Amino acid sequence: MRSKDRIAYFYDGDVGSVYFGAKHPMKPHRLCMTHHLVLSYDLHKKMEIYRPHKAYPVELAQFHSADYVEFLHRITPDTQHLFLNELTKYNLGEDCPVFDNLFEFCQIYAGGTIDAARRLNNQLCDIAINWAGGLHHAKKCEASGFCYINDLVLGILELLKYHARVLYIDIDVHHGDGVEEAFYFTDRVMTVSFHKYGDQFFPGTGDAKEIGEREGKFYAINVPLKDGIDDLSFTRLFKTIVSKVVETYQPGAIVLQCGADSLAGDRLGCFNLSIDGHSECVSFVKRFNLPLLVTGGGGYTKENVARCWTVETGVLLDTELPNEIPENDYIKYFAPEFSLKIPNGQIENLNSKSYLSTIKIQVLENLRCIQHAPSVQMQEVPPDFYIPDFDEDEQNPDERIDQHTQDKRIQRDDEYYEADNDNDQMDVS
Amino acid sequence: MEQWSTFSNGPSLDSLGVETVGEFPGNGCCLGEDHVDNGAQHGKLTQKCLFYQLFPLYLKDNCSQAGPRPLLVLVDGQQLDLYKLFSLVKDRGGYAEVSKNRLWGSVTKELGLNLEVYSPVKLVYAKYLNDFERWLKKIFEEKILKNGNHGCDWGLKWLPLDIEKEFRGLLCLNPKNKADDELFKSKSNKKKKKTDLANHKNGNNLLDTKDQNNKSEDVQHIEGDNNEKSCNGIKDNPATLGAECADKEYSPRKRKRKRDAFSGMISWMKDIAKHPLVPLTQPIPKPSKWKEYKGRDFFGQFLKARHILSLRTHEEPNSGLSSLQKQKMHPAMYEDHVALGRHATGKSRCNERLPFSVKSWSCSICNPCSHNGNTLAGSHNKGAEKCPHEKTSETVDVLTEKAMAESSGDEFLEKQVSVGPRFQAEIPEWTGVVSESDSKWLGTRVWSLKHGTEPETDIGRGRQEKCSCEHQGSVACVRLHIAENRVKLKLELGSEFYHWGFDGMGEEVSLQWTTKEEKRFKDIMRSNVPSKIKYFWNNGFKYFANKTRRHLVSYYFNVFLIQLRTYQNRATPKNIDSDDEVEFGYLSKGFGMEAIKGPGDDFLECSKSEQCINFE
Repeated sequence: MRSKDRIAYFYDGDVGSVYFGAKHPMKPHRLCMTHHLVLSYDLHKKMEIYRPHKAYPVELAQFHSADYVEFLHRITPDTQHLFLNELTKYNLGEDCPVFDNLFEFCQIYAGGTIDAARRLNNQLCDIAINWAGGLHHAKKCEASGFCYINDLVLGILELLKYHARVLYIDIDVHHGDGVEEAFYFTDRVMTVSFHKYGDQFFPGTGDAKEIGEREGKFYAINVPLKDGIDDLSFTRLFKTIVSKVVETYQPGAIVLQCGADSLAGDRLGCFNLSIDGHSECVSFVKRFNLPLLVTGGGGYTKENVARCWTVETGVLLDTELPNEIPENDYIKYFAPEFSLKIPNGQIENLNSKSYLSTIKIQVLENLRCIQHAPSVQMQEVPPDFYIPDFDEDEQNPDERIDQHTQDKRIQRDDEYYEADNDNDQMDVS
Repeated sequence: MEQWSTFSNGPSLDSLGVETVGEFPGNGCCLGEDHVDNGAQHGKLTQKCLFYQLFPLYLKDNCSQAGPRPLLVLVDGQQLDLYKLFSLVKDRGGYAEVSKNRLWGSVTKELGLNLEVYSPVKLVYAKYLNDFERWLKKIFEEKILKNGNHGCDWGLKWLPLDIEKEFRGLLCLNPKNKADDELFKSKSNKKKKKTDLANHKNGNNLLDTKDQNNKSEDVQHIEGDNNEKSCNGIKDNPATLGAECADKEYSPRKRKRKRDAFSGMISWMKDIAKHPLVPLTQPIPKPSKWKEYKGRDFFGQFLKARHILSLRTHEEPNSGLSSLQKQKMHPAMYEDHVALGRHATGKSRCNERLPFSVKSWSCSICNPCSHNGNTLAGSHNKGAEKCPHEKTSETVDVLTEKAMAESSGDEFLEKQVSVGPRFQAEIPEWTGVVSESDSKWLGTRVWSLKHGTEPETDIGRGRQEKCSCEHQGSVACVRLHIAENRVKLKLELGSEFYHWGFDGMGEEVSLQWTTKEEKRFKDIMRSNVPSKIKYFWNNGFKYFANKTRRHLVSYYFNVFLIQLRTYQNRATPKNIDSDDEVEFGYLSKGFGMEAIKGPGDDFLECSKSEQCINFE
């Protein structure tokens, strides 16, 4: 069955060839492996693939401070010893080393997310995927946690040009602090992050008590979890909270950060999620039929990252993938089973039922606060999925549209009905 | 908290002491003349002199070792001038200010040290000088209490600007001050005396504990900030901070990276040690057997710590002992390879379950030291008798730091969301009018859908169960299918095959390398010397004139790691750790290296582990 959504997938062959340095857990090569695996499963036959433009410094400065962007642009491994104070100031050097082609790397992954947002804005696709993006820790004026440029913030800012409200969901094992911080004062972006919290776990923020400030009060949601959460409790909590959030907040678009370090067996993570559990969240979000921007994020056991994002690409394409990985150049990385499934996590689940329900109650209570105080025009701008938005005149004339794409657009009119039905069928447990 | 760092800091600092050039000669004034007569101004000189006078006093008072701790600290092979460090930090507003404003780099620079060692410098400050500062302050406060108006108006604040004045003042008051010191000491000893007496040598660790708890917040900073040691091996046995520095270069200040499996095991043991009353599934060896574990992964030390804690937790030593005997634990579980192999299991124990452990710890250690030491000192003493002194001290040190990190962690240092124009994004008001998204840059379509060419069912195929090969599943068969798929993809993708770098994927990359080059690359990687490998990545062109970094990275992931992995798939199919760096550590222990270097280096001979398993 052909997917009814138009998917734009972003990839640049250069992104995987950078190297953070020996012993650094972040390995962009995982992006090569992901892309390779996606193609091994022939998923490219169901989507369009784009090479992102390299974001210009001025685009990056839409969020980041100009001095920081300028510095990132200028610094190289050979010159870094001349800028020790700046390195410290911008938090570069340890978690975030300066390596060859650093800025180009940032330009590519940020460009991917920005392009993805623009394609969504121009209704050129329904779902955009940029596995290279999702670097959610980067701050306005400094790097943090392997992240230099916060492509998510840039993508959301782009979506805000078109949508009154954007929902950001983060299932990385680490708190999405950079995005939360960027939008801490606004009610135009709601950030929802599910993450490990406590025990000095990086980055240290993400307590349930962080709910936003000023106009943004109640528009930041944190779901702090403990070690070893399993599929069942995670997906249950995720579905309950996210469905309530979407119902209450009525976002115009959703940005989903799919950090794969929440999977069992991650080098830095401490959850027990299987790929099924992880991708179930993706599938759940997809079913809202809102414009959806999907990015990568963390993920430090690179085969599992490739597995997970390949499965999730399949989920977004409504394609279930067989467990046996087809022969390909990287097949040996997937030994010994050569399968998509990963072993279950063995970490003790420290999230008691009562703990999870306390969290849930707290989050839902905070959500109720916005129901009664709709500070943004909640109803004036109907969410996109109610708008029949296929006016060809609005299309960018530069963009050549082949017959096939046009056909698909026409088909979509009647598909919306189905889509609405899907909403009703949502499993809200 | 970073597990390994807490483990390594204590011992490494202690060994610092051992490594020192010489001991400070008693309470005498001044360091060697060469330090002083360098044309420094008189004020500085006296300050320095005073500093070196007071500091041993402080050490003596607070560390209560038989003699003062050695004063000459080596960082990066150079002697660290504690006074200079002290004054530099004071000039910048103190420890907290320096940390906050990230000035450690400049402090280190001014000390004439390599910038890379700033974290050890910070550590030294926090471990010794920070507390010294408090101690000084306390003395001044006491003096004010005692002497009322002394003529000098000592501010209660120890402002950086006052430092010179205070030091000068201190100097002229020196004899009196010393008397005050004595008073202070005897006074504080009232609190500590019984513990001291009862514990003899072991006592100093407890006192350390107390002192360090005073500054737990600061220590927490260091530990959280910069003392991760990501290298995985006790074998490194960090004898000097200098040696550690090489590793520290990789250590994230904000620590997103995590401990490896080995430290996971360490922390698991710590966990065991700290929760003496939590029953375990396997029996703990009896105390009499402990010495068998001596030197083996510190297991013995953890056992002892556990034992002591268990005794302490029970006010009556006997009940503690009996409960200990009921506990169960199997020693084999802690052996290296098991921990490495059971990565996930190890990690599950890494993260401390906070509230419980903090409480149990603080009541068993901190309180006895500071308040009611006399009640519990006896029990501690009992435990101490059973343990050789050095071992206990080390263990307790480790545990102390750990506990401090925890207790300070959640209680004192809740990280807040930063707020202000340097943090939040600027978001335009929603006007209800859709502003045009820049349509110029939408990405370049490099792959579009071709409909009708491919039957839907072919999309998302997995590995074929059956093929027409003569020997299904054989090496040749697998290689054939990989090649087939590659050619198929190449035809489909056309030029994108190259743009996406598929031509540079897989072991074919090795075809662009000569055998000699390959050997060279592998030799460097196998050397497993972090500094060497780091140097290599940064200066690869010196090793391979015609290769860019990109070539090296490509070779690393497409050939080297895959071959390593192939070996692992064959040798230890159940224990594969995808973390390549750990793999090096694993292999460097000798096991498997021979196999990797095997005849002809022909890894393709066994490219799929399944069949190997079958053969075995």
